[in-house]
Amino acid sequence: MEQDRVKLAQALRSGDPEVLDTLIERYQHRLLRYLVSITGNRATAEDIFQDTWVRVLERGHQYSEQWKFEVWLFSIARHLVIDWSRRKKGDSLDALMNPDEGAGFEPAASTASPFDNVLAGESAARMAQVLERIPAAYREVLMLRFQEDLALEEMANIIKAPLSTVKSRLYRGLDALRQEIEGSTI
Amino acid sequence: MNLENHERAKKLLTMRRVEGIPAVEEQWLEDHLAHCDACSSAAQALTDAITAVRSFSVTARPEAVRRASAAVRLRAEQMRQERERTIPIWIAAAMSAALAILTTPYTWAAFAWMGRLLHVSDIAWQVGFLMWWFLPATIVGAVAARRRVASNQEAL
Repeated sequence: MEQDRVKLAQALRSGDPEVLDTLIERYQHRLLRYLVSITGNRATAEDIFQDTWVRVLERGHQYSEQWKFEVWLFSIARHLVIDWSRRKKGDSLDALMNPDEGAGFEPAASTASPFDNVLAGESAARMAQVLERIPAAYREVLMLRFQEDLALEEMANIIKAPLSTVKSRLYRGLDALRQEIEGSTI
Repeated sequence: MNLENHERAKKLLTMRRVEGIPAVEEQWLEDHLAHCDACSSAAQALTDAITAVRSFSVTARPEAVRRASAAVRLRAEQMRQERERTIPIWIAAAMSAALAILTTPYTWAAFAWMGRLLHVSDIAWQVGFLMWWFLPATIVGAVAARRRVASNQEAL
């Protein structure tokens, strides 16, 4: 595994678009899912999806093999989401991702029910609605933990927050999710 | 069963999912769940919530993937051209540095000779020598910084 990362780091330093194609192929769904989960909007997520890969190409030399590639990838994607949201709404970084300040990071959706566009099937759509009602900061950590199976330290690295913040968001997020599910009878 | 045990069980249920719990606590929790319907339901609700998160699926459209791939290739080509453009600059800079090092003793002697000829103090011609040495680099640096700021503003 460690050797794979060393090879990947070398390949990324070369800036070869073929390497990027392989990575896009491998991580396309996971990256888009993460982006949709934090932006709540598929069109925006797809724009940032593209920008993320361009940034991976530009910053390939900065990838360190001490981290899983997806941790670095999500970290780049997250930065781009924050940049995008700042440009769009002029919000501060704290206000964007702090669930204690208002609704937290909830970019305006271009359609009434963005997750509906993303998911197929009634149950999945209901689940999407449940997730939509949870503040983005909680949704993000829940996805990283239970979809991506990332360690707490890796999550802290992505969201650039102390471990205690990651844990507290997970506890609150699980609590919020449980309440939403009980309320919606999925 | 007292209220304290239920609270402890609920706390451990979430903690188990978030950061893990010691084996002793795990055992206690399992024993408690085996006999407590309320906490058992809470455990099931938590499992359902996590299953719900895991069921959230998004598939990237081939079109979006193709667009990303095309954007990467375009940027890779731009970066290659930028690198090619900077190669002559690096060569010129390297040659200039090498020449400057090789000619330093002669330049120093020339400044000293001019200083004597013009009857200026040693410190004056030595400052002149330093300016001769640093001025071109300072000017080039200032121009490069100015161009960079301008291109950043354009990008915004």
